[in-house]
Amino acid sequence: MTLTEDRPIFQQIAEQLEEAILSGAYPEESQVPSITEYSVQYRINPATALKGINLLVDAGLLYKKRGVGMFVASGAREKLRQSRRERFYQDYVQRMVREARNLGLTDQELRTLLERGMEEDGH
Amino acid sequence: MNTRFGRAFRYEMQNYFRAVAVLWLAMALIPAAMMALAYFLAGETAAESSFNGYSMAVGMFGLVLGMVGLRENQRVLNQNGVSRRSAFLADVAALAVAALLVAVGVSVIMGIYRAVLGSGSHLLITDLYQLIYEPAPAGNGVGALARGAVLSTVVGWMLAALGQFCSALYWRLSKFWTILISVAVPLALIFGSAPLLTWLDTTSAGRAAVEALAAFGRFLAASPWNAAAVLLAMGAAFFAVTWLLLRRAMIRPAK
Amino acid sequence: MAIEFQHITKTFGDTRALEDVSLTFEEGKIYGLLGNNGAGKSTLLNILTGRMCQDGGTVTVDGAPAGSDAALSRLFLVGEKNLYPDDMKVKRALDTAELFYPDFDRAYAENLAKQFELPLNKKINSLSTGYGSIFRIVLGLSVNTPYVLFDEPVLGLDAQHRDLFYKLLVRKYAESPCTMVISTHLIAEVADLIEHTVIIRKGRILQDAPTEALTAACWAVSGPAGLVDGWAAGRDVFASSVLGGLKTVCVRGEGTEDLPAGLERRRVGLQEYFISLMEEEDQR
Repeated sequence: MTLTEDRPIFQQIAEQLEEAILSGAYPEESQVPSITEYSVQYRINPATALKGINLLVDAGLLYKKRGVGMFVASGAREKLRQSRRERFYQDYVQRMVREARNLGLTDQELRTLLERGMEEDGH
Repeated sequence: MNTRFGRAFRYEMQNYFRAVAVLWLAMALIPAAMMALAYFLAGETAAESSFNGYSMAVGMFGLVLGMVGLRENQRVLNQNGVSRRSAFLADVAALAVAALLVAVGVSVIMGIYRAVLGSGSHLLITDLYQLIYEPAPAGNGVGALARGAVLSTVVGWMLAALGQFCSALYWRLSKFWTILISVAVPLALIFGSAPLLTWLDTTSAGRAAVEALAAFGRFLAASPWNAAAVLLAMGAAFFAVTWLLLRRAMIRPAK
Repeated sequence: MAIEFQHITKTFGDTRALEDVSLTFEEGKIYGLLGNNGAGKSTLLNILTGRMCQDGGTVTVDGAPAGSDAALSRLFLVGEKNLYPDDMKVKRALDTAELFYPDFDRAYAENLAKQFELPLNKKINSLSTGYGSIFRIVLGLSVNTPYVLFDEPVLGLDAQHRDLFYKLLVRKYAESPCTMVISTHLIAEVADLIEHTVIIRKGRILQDAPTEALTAACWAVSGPAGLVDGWAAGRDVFASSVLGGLKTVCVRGEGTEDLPAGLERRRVGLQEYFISLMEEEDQR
């Protein structure tokens, strides 16, 4: 993952962690890289990395084992899916509708596109 | 020795010791080389040659060490977290110790040469101290050597202070003044000495000045301790002025 | 425990190098001292390290006046130029650092030298510009003083070595936090590293704030010129540019409210913010 300028870095760290948990790259009860590793890898201030990781700690997705490091909490994957579902409407649907309207698509055209998308992705 | 000053002193001594060792070697070998040369050139009939450069050697050594070390030491020591003051004090102390080492070493070498060569040799090892204060043969003993070493130390230290002063002066002066002084002083010496000598000779003020100088000279020659005291005072004065110049100088890289 | 500058002024001839500069470098943070060449960054650091005297104001390091033993032993400057004697070898410089800095990590320094391929037996003045910088970097990362100052540390370094340097810096800071001040005009490279940003221009401090505060509060809004002007009226605009009919303004603000249709918003990175700020100041 490379960092972009359009979102705060700590947010990008958090998102990258969430992706890794969701995809299973960081399994539950396994250790995630330390603050130091994150900071060095992305050449960022450790405070920023810490902020990103703390977002997940606050959301109950990670927990800290004293003297060892950060671990993925059990049930994190399911929790993430849930919160993603709740955000799905805002992050994707609302934005899609607005973008479609921006481009001048009618609601019917939008629905057609949706159907097409669902078909092409199969099941 | 764990203060900044202590460590700075240790650093400078490490540097100076190399120079001291080189000088010892030179002072040990040069008379031997001279002797060998004399024998080689003229055999047994070679006239007496004398070597009396020891005090001057210590003096020159001090002068050069003082001049070269000031800025270089302030730079390195600043980079390594030493204040100007501690670095300067380390300079003063290290130069004193270096002068002492050289003076003592040189005296020891002189003593060895004299003992080895005996009194009838073709090579006369003497020095300024002997000439002025304790002429041979009385002045050949260990006591005289020791006293000579003390005076040489002070000479070396005072000249080191002079060297530091010159270095500090050039450090603080702008390029314009540096060039001006570098040109004006030799010129003054060259063109001013004749008129000065005339003035000293012909005017009553001049003659009085000469008398005063002569009296001062007699004072110095009366006892080595007189000379030592005067030289110590001069050294301290030069160091004091050096510090004043050093306090607000800018520490910058050499190039 | 901090480095404090109070109302520092310094004049060279008729140039005001520093004008009423007051700053604090607190413990345990990475600071960026950002500014163009000649802005006064090096002057500030030279005064801090006792290499020159300020004309007015005070500088203290943990309460001790700058230039004193107490102050100087608490910091190390990785400067732009070399203060070591010409004929000194790199190895001897390490010995010297070991002598003066009790916490100097010799093994770590030699390890770094190996990573950078810095030859220990070479004379310091025979090092290239890049390797001169590397030499000073190796020292700076190994002294373990409470404050380490970097003045244009990556001069002459190739991309790989720059990357290595930043990674080493971050690792060092993460493992043993200290105060690091990076003075540079290469803003994009350090933007993500510095927790606190100080922007200096022509001897004056323009900005002194946490980096996050600066970048979170700055947005570039673009769209058709007329729309943008209408929206931007009454807002804190600090820069604007026009490309044909497309206008972009940089505004200070929350950036959370919805934009009217046709306008796009994006965050302003630190370098862009800096450039815009300089342009705004130039126009004053």
